[in-house]
Amino acid sequence: MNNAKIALTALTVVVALMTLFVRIPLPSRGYFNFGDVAVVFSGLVLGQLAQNRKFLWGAAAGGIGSALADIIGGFGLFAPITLIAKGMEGGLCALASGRPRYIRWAFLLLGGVSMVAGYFIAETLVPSIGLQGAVSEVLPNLIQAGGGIAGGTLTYGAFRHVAGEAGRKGTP
Amino acid sequence: MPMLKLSALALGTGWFFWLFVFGPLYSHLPAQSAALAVALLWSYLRFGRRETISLLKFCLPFVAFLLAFGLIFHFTRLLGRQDWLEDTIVKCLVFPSSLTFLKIMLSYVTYLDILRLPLSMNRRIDMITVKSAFQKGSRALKRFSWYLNTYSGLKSRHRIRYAMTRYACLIIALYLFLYQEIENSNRLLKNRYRHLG
Repeated sequence: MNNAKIALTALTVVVALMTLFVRIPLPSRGYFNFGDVAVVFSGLVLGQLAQNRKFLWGAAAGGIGSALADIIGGFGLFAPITLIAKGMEGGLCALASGRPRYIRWAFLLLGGVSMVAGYFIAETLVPSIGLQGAVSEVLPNLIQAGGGIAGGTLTYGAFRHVAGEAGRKGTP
Repeated sequence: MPMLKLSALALGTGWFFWLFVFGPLYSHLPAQSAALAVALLWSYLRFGRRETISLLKFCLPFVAFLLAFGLIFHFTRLLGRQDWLEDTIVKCLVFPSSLTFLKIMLSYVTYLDILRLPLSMNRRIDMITVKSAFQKGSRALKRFSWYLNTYSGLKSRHRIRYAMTRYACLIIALYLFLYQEIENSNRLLKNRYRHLG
């Protein structure tokens, strides 16, 4: 296992566990969680570690970890949607890593918006949720995405401080 | 033989999730209650009373959250829906039963089974590492959470700030811990394979 693979395994577990840590049910039968902080953090760490295909590394940690949490946590209906929506978010955050400030923020915001849009489109198509449920989840998802970007970026900053950016980048 | 065993376990898990989490019995309250009862009994027989109670304790905060919000939504008749309570109770049952069932199924997958799989040694070592990472991660999260509760330097008058700082600390601590654990166990296993055969 190389550094990126070790980090991917560790971060997939972190995303799954942190998503399960705090959960608040939503009107659309989904749930609000702070797992996005871990998804954004994972994307940023893996974006630093992976030499190429950054998007796939970030998407794998965010998507698989969150989908696992959905399945274990009894929200299995959302697992396929989560795999794509959170995968997009994690992937775009990985692309944001190491870029100049404005481009980085643009990618992070794009990641958050893609997550919200992904859930909205998919939930509209699910008969048991429909447009009404999908609309009611837009605001909590936006808060989740915003909190994820803010929390994930701050967590990543603190992590870089702990791990020491020089030399080893995303590895502890 | 291990292939047969792992296939049976995968089929059993898939069947459970198809039936109770994704499929026809998801909103069937008696079936969900029975599934939880069977899962808990199985857990009691396999892991013992202490482990089963600790698993239930792990689920309790999530279930309490779900129930509290479900009740609020039910009494405020949010979105005009009448089925909030029913939906919440189902989720409260599905969460512990699926978690318990998955834990039981995974406990049957031993390291020896993985070692006997017809895969390359590197692939088998990677699989063992992933299995141990998941086991260690859930145990470490509980421990780190407890440590952080005792750490007065982290406490703040602003509850949200305290909760966010604690959450960020947990992410970093868990990642650092798991990274080291995976790196070490992977290196040890590969060394053992290369030099001890």
